[in-house]
Amino acid sequence: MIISRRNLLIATSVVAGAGAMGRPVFAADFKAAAVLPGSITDQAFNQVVYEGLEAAKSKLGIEVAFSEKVKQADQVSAMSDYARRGYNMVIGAGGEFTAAAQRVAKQHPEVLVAVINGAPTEGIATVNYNNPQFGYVLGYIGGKMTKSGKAGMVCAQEIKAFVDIAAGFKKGWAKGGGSGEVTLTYTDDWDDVAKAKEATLNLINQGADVVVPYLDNGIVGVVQAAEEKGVWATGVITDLGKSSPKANLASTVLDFAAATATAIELGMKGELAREDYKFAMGSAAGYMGTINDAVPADVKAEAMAIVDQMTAGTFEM
Amino acid sequence: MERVYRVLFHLRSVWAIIAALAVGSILILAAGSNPIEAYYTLFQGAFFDYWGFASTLVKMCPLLLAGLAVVLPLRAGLFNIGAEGQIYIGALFATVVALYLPGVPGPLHIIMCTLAGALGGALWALIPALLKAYQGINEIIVTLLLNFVALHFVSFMVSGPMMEPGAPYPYSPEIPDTLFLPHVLPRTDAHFGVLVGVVIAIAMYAVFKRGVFGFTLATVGRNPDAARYAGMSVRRHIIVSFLIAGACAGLAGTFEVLGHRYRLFHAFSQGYGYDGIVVAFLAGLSPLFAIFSALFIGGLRSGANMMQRAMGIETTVVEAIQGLVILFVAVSLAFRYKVTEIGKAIARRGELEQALEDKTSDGKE
Repeated sequence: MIISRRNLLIATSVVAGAGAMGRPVFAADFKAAAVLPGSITDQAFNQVVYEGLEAAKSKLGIEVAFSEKVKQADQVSAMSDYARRGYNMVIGAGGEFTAAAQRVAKQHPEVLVAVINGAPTEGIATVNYNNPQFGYVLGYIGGKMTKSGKAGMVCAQEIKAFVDIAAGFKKGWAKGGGSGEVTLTYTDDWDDVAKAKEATLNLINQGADVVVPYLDNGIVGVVQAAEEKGVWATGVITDLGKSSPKANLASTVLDFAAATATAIELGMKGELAREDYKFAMGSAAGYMGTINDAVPADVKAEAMAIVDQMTAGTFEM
Repeated sequence: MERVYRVLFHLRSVWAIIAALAVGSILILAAGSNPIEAYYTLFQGAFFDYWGFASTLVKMCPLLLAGLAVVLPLRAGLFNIGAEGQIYIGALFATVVALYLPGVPGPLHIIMCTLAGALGGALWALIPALLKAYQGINEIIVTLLLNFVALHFVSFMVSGPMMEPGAPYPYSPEIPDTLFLPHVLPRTDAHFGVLVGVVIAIAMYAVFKRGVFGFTLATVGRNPDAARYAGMSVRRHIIVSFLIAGACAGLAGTFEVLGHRYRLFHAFSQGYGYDGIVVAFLAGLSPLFAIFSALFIGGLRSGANMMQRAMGIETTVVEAIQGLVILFVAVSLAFRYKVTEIGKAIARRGELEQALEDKTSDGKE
């Protein structure tokens, strides 16, 4: 299911009509909890999801709770703890929660288990973006601007969301004229700035002149490396145009706060089925960020035309 | 008077915990919360809440077994710093049997996994035991270093040959659900393993108290030369104590997989083996008291999550308090009653009083 600004209402009503979903619960009784892999003050993914949780709390008047810095091996116990304590909805923040969520959903069929950025999985709701589209636009602009023809992407773990972004990026890169390879690197740590920087420097030494971070705190390291070596960086999750305008080539914004809050609201209304939800490019939760002024006007216009097609749902990759 | 001091001294671990919590309350104040309320939440959540107590038991199981793995060799005067590694290898063996021996009926399969896990831990502990017994190589260093070998070996296995296809993180496929250990508290994660741990602890206590092996082991620990003169094999005691210790730690890893996580994860233990050392010393090396010290440390860990959730205290503060408890307990154990200034002063005072008494009785004569 694709959700964008224009068809969110339609999508919601269609979903409301479909079967196999939780019963609606009154706001006062509804409790939602999020289990986060990192710190709620990481100024990246975890913080944003936390803000979405708080936004849902103040908007819907529901009870919320969270656990931060939950390690992979402790995911199941943290999530099932909330499920047992009567939380109606338990959210795993990040694709790495998918397997744990499936186990918890199996043991607690009465609880709605959702994973933000999770791979579509039976029995749980996954809240996603149309990731290939976001990757495609950035890849297209990068392909137009590269001199070496090579790009590098840095992520912590091989999660489905990133793999999809990378696949889209590669297609866009080739379409834009990037002749060389797009290399993927995994640091195994979402927050380690030094590790991310080292990985990025390696990619740059191998000839990449566009680098793409898909990390939490680690983004800082990628951008530092790009700034030092004078290559482009593109932001996927946050708008690098705001934090590092010089290195930022182009950025998309994945507003996980809006995605989380929307998912909780749908969950409370009993409208979040145990399926995969995708926010399209150009939706309230995911949109185009800043494009550097160095990008020629015609490239910019082409990119924005692609974005418009994606928003309208007519884009074919 | 001296008896009072002596009792106070023997309770030094308790004072250390109180002191650590007192220092920790400064941290809680700095984080903007009320320490009394926070500690109330912690202990209430860990011991007087059904779900919380269950999660305390879940953490208690590996802590207790790892603690026993430290207690036993220490009876013979040997340090097993390698429980962490033995936990990993035990979990690995158990997972291999769980995943690659299909077709065995459930209960028998559970027993086979358990035995395999104990065997794995025992074999891993055999390495330092043999090196110590036959080459005199320092067991502290060998066990410590083998922890890293075990950790990385398991990482290699679960990120390579045993990795769940398409997993985002190094972990094995899930074990069949016929192997899930039964739960001791309904609808919780608290599994049967904790009872096994308690039974082993009581058995170990009985052997130490009444068994021949307990006596010979203590003799070897106190005076190896005398033990040898009495016909006890020091080497055999080193090897046997390490094998049993390794098996205990291996069981800790096994039950983590069979009872709680249902997969083998990279880096799943997060220091249970090292916390086992704290459990052992907090218990004054008694297997019986280890049950309570493991319960306490487990409660501290699960209650901390509760405190964080209820009070919004950052996990870093909670982690710091846990660290303080361990630090203070460790420091308290460094005090030796006889050699402290207070101890010396008390001894001098005792001597003086004795002398006075002698003198007065002399005077009477």
